[in-house]
Amino acid sequence: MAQLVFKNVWKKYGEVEAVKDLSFECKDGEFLALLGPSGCGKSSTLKMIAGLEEITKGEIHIGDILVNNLKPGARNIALAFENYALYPPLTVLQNIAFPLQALGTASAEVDKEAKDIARILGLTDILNRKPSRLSGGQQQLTSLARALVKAVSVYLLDEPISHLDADLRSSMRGELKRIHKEMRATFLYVTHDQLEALSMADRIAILNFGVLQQIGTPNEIFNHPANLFVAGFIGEPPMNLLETEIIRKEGETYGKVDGAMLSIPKKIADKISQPNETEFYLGIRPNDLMVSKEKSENCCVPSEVYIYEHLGDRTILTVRVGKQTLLIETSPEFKADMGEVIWIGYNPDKIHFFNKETGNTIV
Amino acid sequence: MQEIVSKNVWKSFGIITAVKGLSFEGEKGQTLVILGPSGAGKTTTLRLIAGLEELDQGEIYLGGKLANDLLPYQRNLAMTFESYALYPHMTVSENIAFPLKAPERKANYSNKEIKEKVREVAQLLGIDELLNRMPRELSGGQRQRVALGRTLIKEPRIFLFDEPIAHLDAKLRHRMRGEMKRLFKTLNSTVIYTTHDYIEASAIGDKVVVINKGELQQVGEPQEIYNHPINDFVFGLTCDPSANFFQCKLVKRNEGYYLENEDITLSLPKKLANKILLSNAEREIRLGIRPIDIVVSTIRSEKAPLPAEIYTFEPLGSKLIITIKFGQSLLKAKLGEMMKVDIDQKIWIGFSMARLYLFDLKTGINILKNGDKYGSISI
Repeated sequence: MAQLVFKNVWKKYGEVEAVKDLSFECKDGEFLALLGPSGCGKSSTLKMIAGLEEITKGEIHIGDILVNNLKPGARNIALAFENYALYPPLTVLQNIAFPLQALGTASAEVDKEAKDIARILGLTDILNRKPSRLSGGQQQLTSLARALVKAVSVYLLDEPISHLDADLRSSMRGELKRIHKEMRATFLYVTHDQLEALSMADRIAILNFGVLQQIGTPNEIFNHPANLFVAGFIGEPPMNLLETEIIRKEGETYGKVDGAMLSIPKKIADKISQPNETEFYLGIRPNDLMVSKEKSENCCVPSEVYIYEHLGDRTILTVRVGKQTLLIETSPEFKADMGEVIWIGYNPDKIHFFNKETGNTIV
Repeated sequence: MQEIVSKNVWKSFGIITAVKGLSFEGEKGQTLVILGPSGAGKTTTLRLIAGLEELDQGEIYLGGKLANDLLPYQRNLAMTFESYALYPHMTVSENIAFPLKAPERKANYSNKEIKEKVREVAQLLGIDELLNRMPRELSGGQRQRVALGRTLIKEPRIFLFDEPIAHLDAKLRHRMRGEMKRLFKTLNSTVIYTTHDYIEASAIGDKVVVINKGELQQVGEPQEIYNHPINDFVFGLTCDPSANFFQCKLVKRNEGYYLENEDITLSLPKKLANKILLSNAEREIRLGIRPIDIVVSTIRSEKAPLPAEIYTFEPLGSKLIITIKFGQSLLKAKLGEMMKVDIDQKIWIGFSMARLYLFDLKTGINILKNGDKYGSISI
């Protein structure tokens, strides 16, 4: 059963269309990430689910109930924000129990439920502390526990860890994944950080300019991006996107990238079918490129080292092929100087082609 | 000749000593990165070099001359801060030209010369088409470049950068990092740059100066710092996402030497055991292993002989971070390729033995010095 269903939902603020014809489903027990850059419409989407914004057009169903006209309190959802907003005079346990007490739940049950969720989030040892005596991560966990303590159809998590420092954010990503697995609840997680979405979610819905770009598992999104936007947005360092001209000669197909001719395997060439279309973007991830100091069968495209960055356990090279710049991720043993010519190659199974006009993925 | 020399420099603010006897040197054309956590004394060091703070003790030499008593503007340095601090009411061109119009330089340049220099610098930074825009019409990266342009135009002896890209988002930071590195090399500038991020330090620096609590820890090339960290603090800084440590005791049994705690037993070659015995009366060792040097497998093998469990995991596209429950500890492993795993799954792990680090528990000093050769440690 789907816990959350969007059917052709629109949101307009005057002339501005913030969300355009959005349709998707979030399954029962699923961790769905809503990912996009700022201004993509993810916050408007969240507010429409929560009932904080009216829906301009379309339908939103939560737990099989059409909620378009329901008040926020009647929608059977819980919301956690970036800002923890804990009650300073209350202890961790009292903060967590608060939403249940507000519902008038019997106090024995409140205590049990609050302690139960506190255990899942690893807060058992600090239940009697006041917020002022907690670290940033503990405050965040307490705020999350308060959102998760109520049994609801969908938990909405709005960038809950985005302001934490890098180390803490990394450990919270892992913790949230465990928490979700233990609760088996439905999470809708809003974020602008692709690493959060990739690392935690069962599926990711990517928005840009209010339009759904792709919905799929992290693996699908990373390895089979639906279009140029998704390809460029997901991955760190980002995918290389090169303007390519397709040239067919004597039964072979080549991609011409600023003077360099890349041979394109037949199975890929066959999919780039229309003979009148010749201009594409070729996409390849930095770690799918190979480098060599010598020309070889695998590495036969000459390029000039533009920037060399040693990063401890890996090396990032920025190289130039003609006027186009590529990022390459390689082992720390590979050394090169600025201005040096090195030879690069690629695994043909790992390349992507995008239509230059529409940006849609061809291969 | 050394372009910058800091010799036994001390600086206190009231009862707090921010810099304690700091000594390091940088050659002309070198990028020197001062690396340390917040509160390490990075910014104070930079301000001492710039002449914005007076030092209590020690000497700073710039271009071979003692600079202790020189005023900031006499030092021929340029400093860029994390906040760009552009003049909001001036165009990009006016912002970049500003240092040349300062009173002590004004006489040296005609308007035509200034215009030409602005164009030159803007071209170098790829912002020559933005010269007539106001700062509010620029993106974060463009503003950063304008601030950089304003620094470059002074053609100073040394550039000082205080965490210049720390607040940019990951993608932009990555791009700016590379561009700045190229720029420094192209101009053959001498640069002193502070950061709290080892990856940034390693990417941009010819030489890294690691400091903690105002004290020098280690100076060296990025790779040397990575491969031969002098102590557990420096080792911790170079680990991504974070270091794994075990506390162990050295024990002797049946003529063999072992490093032990409740979860692991490592057999040590005699030579290495002797070295520990000589250096460490308590026989207590802090064992360090980087996430990238942990082997993870779904089947037991020689390389992965230890049973463990997956606590949680983070797939990050082409990399996988796994938090492993191993005995009493949670370890972080970083894999360069994807592997299908699940929470609570039983796995087998091992350590790349050649990449183990042994630190003295009390002093934190790395017992395996650069160049030391020992027989291999085994599980």
